[in-house]
Amino acid sequence: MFELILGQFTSGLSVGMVFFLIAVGLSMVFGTLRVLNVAHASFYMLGAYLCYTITHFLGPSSGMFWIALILAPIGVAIFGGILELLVLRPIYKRELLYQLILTFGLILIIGDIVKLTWGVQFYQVNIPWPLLGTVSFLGTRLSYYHIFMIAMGPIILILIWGLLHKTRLGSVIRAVTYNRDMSSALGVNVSLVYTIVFMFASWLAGLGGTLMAPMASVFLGMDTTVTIECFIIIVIGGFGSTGGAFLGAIVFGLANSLGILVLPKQAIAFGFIAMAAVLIVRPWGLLGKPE
Amino acid sequence: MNIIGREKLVFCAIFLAIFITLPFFVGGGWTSLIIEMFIMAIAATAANLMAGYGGMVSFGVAGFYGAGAYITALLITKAGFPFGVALVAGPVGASIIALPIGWFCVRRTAIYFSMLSLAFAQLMYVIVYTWYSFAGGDDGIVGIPIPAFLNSTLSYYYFTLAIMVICLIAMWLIVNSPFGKTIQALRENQERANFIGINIRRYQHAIFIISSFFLAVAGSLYCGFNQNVFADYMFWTKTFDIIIVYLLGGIYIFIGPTIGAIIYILANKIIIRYTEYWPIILGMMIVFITLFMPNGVAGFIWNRISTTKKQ
Amino acid sequence: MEVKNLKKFFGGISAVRNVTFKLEAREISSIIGPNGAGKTTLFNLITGKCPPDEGEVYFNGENISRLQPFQICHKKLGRSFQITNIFPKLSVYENIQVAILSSRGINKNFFNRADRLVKKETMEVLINLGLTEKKDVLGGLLAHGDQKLLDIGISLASNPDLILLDEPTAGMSPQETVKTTELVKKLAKERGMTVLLIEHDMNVVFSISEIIRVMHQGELIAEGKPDEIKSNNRVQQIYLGEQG
Repeated sequence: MFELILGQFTSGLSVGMVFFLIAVGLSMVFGTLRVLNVAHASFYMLGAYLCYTITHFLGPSSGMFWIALILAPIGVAIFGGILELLVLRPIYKRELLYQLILTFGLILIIGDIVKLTWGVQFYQVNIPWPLLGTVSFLGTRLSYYHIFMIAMGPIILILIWGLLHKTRLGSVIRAVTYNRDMSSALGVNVSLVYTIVFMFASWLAGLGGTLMAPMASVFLGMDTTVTIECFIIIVIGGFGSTGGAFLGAIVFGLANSLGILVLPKQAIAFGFIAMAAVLIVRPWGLLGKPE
Repeated sequence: MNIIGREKLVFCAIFLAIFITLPFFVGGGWTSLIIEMFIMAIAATAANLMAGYGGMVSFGVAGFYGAGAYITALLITKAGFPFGVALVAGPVGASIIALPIGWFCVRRTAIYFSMLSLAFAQLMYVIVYTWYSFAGGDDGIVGIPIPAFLNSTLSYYYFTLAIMVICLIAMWLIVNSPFGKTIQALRENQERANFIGINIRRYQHAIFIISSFFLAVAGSLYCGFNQNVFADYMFWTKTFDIIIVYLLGGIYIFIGPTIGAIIYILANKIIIRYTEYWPIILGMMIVFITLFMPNGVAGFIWNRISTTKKQ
Repeated sequence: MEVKNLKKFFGGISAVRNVTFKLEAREISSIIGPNGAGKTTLFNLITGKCPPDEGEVYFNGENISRLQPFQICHKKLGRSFQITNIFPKLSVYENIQVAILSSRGINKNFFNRADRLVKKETMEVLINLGLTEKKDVLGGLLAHGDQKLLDIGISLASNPDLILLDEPTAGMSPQETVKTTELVKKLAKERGMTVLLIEHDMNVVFSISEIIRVMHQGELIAEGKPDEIKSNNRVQQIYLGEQG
């Protein structure tokens, strides 16, 4: 029994970390650009597909994964940057409804681009060397890869925190988030900041996809498996809050994986119940700030 | 103003005449298609009561659409109610559900309202999706019987047309009534509305319920049309379909969502015949409309007509 | 209307400190004071936009301190805004109409054509405002001066017994200012309204007010007839002196 719980705990935590990577980007984009990019999960999917292509580039060797880990997110970031310049810029000043629908349109477009490029098969990416196998822990076996994924979460969290609070770029980003017009008046190139933040968020989502690829299959529709879940996470954690996304993602990942042990079919309801509860009681989320 | 009124009436009469006579010129497949358009028109116009007239974007509209369908289906299959009663009970039941849900939702604004309405709709979806014994779970409910006189495409066509006309007239009266003006004032400036004596929450709650009622009418009609219900009817992708339809048509014109429904379903069925890549085409249509025609197709045409009139 | 010991704090700052005064029926009076004196906050407290931390507001003998703005409006207390607050995508006609419908309680009506109702009353207000030619123009497209006029019109439309006007002539040209001042005087006489203005334009203040109250740093420091205020040393020092 204990082994089962621990196993669910680690898989829930590792999936939670991937959710964190996607959700935090979505949250940052909303916090800074004030745009809710519904298509954010498409970047996640793109990352996974790019990971597959890169790892199979010179034949299915598992050493290539590490190259993919570096290149795939960058590829997604570049794609995100182009998208931001061409399609997103015109709608910053518009109401929420138009932003939502436009980005929903992007989900459809990116989805079909992926289908045209890679087809409809499911793809597999192998767990890379040296993370194959499991280790013994408290009487149960934990996969090295799960541990790796769990470790990535806090590493990225610290990376983001460091970026935002210890670098000049970070303080500029925080200034623009806090007050766009004032920053602009002070000479900040707000458009450039927007593009950088969007590319960074895309990079994070692509990283999430790359990390997830060896764990699950790479397939069309991966994006819709995480879209709503990310909304739940950033609502619970708080729009615009990095720590909130981390907290929310862990809570969500664990609630899901442990909830399945208790009430398998209804487990998906917990997320929505939590979401509704937060919105009713404390709409700005656990770690967000009231506007 | 009066001249435009008369023109609108003529336009409606022509519209009606076309749809009444159409089935005699086109085949059964097309007739079915148009029934879907009618149903979508009701749903999108209903959702637009909140969005275009009230400024409240609900992401949970599919929930009430599906609720109407499920209530109708369950009453017929589990309780043996006659179709007519079940059809009326659908919207009534959905309105009752909308009472508490709406109460909570209107206490939040903007994106929080959208997210909360989404959460409630998804909860309804989960309930229906997992409750196998009662609601059929992910198998849904199929083979729902409808009365013999409605059992042909042609008769259901006229049935749906009649209901659509009634619903559209009702909704039109509502938006042009003092209540409707109040809702529009709320969309424009909530604070100012408060200061002229409008109880914001109460009015928003009311329009939420009214919108849900008509959404459920569409859902119930669809249930009768397909003679089945599935959990998908409540899923968020259905909400986005409805939102796309009203945006496509134009949210600031009453007939906008109806025009959007016609274009959307037509485009869908035609394009799907030739390619499997309907999503990317739809996506590009959406991006185009959002960037270049924010008032939708109807809005675009209306602007053209207005400017040529001025010249 | 009576205001007793009104206090309001924001954070650590006292925006309104212990303000007490009484308005007689049909009195036309103004509140003046430098920026930040707490005048608009006072209006917000009276009209229910924010609740007082201490003190009470009475209107016609009733304690309205904790009521919501929409409830206070129905008690016949109206208000216009310093920063124009209108319904931009509704036409000028509709802006006024919806205010009248609301005050009459007709706005719960579902099935009558709104156009046909209250047409006479709406046109009357528009004639008074001088906006009849622009009645179909969308509110948001009006020039600033006309928008302010519309704002005042919306508050007048519900036919209040007491109207609070927050800087009604701010940003208006001299002609518009005169027009607005005349309108306020005329309607006050015709309808027997009590008027309380916040104003910075001293010409308007002195030409229209029977009583002037001066606020400074949240306190009411002087109250009296225009001549008394003009000759009040402290007021001159704090306020008029700065202008001179």
